[in-house]
Amino acid sequence: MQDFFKQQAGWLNTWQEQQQKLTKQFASLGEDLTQGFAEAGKQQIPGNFEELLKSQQELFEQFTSFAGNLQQNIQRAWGDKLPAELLRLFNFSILQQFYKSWLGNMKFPGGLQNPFMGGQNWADPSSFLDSFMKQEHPFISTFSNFNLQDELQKMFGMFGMLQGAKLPGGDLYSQLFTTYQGYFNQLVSTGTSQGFDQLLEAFSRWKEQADQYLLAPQVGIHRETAQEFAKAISLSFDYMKSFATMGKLIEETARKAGNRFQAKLVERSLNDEPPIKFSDFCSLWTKENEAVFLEIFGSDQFAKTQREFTSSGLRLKLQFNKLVEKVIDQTPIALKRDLDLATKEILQLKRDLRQSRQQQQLLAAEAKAAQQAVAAGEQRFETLETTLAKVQALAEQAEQTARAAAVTQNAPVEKAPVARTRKTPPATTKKATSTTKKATATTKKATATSKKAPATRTSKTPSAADKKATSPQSPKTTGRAKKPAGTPTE
Amino acid sequence: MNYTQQFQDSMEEFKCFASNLKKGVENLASIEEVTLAETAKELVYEDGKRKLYRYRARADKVCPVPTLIIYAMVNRYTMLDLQPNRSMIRNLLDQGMDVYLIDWGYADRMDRHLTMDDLINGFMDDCINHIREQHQLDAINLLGVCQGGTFSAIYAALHPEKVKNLITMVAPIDFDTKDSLLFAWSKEMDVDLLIDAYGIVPGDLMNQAYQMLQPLTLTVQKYINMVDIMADADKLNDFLRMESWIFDSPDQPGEVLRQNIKNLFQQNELVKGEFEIGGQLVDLKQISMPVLVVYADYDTLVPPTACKGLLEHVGTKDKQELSYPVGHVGMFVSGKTQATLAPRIADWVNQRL
Repeated sequence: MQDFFKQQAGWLNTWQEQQQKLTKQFASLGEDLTQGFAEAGKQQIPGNFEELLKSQQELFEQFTSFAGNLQQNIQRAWGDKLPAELLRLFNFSILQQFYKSWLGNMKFPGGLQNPFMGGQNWADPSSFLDSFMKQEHPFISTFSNFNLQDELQKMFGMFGMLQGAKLPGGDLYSQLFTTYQGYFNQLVSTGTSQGFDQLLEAFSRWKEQADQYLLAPQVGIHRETAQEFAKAISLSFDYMKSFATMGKLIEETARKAGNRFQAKLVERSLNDEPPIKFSDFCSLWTKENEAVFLEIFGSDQFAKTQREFTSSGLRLKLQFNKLVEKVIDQTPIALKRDLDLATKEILQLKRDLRQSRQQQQLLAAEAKAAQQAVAAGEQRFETLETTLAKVQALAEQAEQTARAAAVTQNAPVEKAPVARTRKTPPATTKKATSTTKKATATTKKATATSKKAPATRTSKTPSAADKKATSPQSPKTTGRAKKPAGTPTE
Repeated sequence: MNYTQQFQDSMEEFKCFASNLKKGVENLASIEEVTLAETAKELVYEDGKRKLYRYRARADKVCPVPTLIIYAMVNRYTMLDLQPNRSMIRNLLDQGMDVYLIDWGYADRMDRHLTMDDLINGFMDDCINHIREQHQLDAINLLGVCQGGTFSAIYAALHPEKVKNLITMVAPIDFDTKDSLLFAWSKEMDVDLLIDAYGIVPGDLMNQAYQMLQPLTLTVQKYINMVDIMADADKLNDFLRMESWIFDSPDQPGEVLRQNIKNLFQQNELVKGEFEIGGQLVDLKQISMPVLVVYADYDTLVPPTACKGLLEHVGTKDKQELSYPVGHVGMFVSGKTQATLAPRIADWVNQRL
């Protein structure tokens, strides 16, 4: 990049020096002109007026050469860094046109007319169209001619390739294509209402002749292809008509916009305002023109014209697609249609896969929950078994204690179960017995729970807590205890 | 002031103009590369060309509920992180927000049949589930920008349980407006013809439509004004960043665009409660979480009336609007919003965690 800069530095410096010199010269000539005009009187054009004009011309030429050079170098340096669409707008030829127009509008003393623009200025609508529409600015539609031009080029390329492979009727198509392409080139280079009308008339005559060959083709020419091509020509005619309608609307709007801009400049002049600065000149042009264009863009007329224009272009594009597919169909090359079908199937498979994955996740989540419940049940069961073992050990210990107590009191010792037969057991025995009962109830519950995992309490068997609540000994009842108090639970 | 003086002043101004041009070319030559979206982030989930990123935290204390940003498909998310001193994402991170972002990628022929259902109930939902799982949360915050805001509102209506707070920024919801040429033109468009002819609609076409909203300002005047800033290398760099973003327009999947134009722009089905995706009717009344609608007063692309429509149709009572005196893009890059927009959003979210 630094090398590039070094290369540019030379001509840029030269250009700047030259531009300053010429600007100074131009201003100095303007001063001389004012003086000369004062001395010679208002009736005579001072002798240095011609020199001033020459200097003006040199300024413009020098700027033009600069802009061209600049454009070329920017494309070279930035072609791979900026989007193509941006580089297209990054266009110094626009500046060049503004510069020319600005110089041309420069006010001279004594009311001398500045003949620099030679009667041409930006109030001229065809000049407007030249400047923007033809330079591929998207002025008249988002689906403007250049996209369709690309399509045409592709289609011609395709047919040309197949003509090389001896397509039946190759000569006929070759002649038709050449003329057809010529009309399209004329369409995009036309900038006046009259030009559009003449083109439509010529195309209409040519279409009638082409139809004679295409609708009833000679033997050896593929009838269906010929008829499809006739349809393409017919749709092209519709497109040209809508293009002309849009072109005329833009032409009319550009004229109104240009007049408005010129009126503003005249107004400045009548008010004896100082020469307009270059930047203000450009801003004024944008503001005044855009106001008129936006008014039209917001109208129903524009919306409908645009719809017709875009639709006719799209219908033609569809027909081009069809024609190209028809030709490619004879070759082993895959069609867009085939690719579309394949992508549709792939997308559907992806959707199915996603759905399956979701179902799988759902099932996996359910399975995981069930496994956790079983594990929890088992864990609880093990805990209960341990507890039961401890309780049994305690019971045995209690029994032994009871026996030992009986021996101590020399009373006959009854066989187990001690707790059941003793109506008024000693305090220790009572405690041990109630623990055994409780443990048995808990074991029952655990068994019921582990059988019905995941653990959801659906059993109608009252729980240990319920039992406790409904126990005849207990004075309390809970909301869940539906049985009357005192009713035995076992 | 005499004529000569005036004339000389005028020529002097042009001399400056020419000098700027010269300096500008030197600057252009010295700029190595235009870089965008440099805030640190990592790829956390992907499905083909569509990706989910998580931005690296920039604050000590990070919001416990992450925020997922959904940008439009018609442009690139890089607008939200244009450059370090003009980055909404960086500003949100500085406020302690935990930011995720969906990158829709560049659609190609493989996406010809992709629908809104695939994007909203598909990839968006996958991303949201991924974030919820990672953070062990039931719901996260959604921040939808422009078309991404429309997608977010649709998602929030279909899956309200997964959205903690919904923020839409310059997002069209009520398409029945006459305040934008784009909406008027869309109503007249034969979208079926467009999709049938193109399949995947070129991004350049969309761009040209946007340029026509200010046809001379955006295609001529902007480049004349550029000369004034060309002599300043930093300003030139800023200009080129913005231009690179503008012309980085992904192509549009045909069926998504068909639904967008036909069902939303033309038939305004979303606010009528008639919009359906994946066999489900989208009822905005189902949006029960807090909603913040952010819009730009001078937006010519998505006018305020189209954004504010959401507030009238959601089910929640906790709804608020926030506006700035800027345009559509200015909302993200303007100096007027840089200092206050992210803090206000962060405050609003933090009050609703």
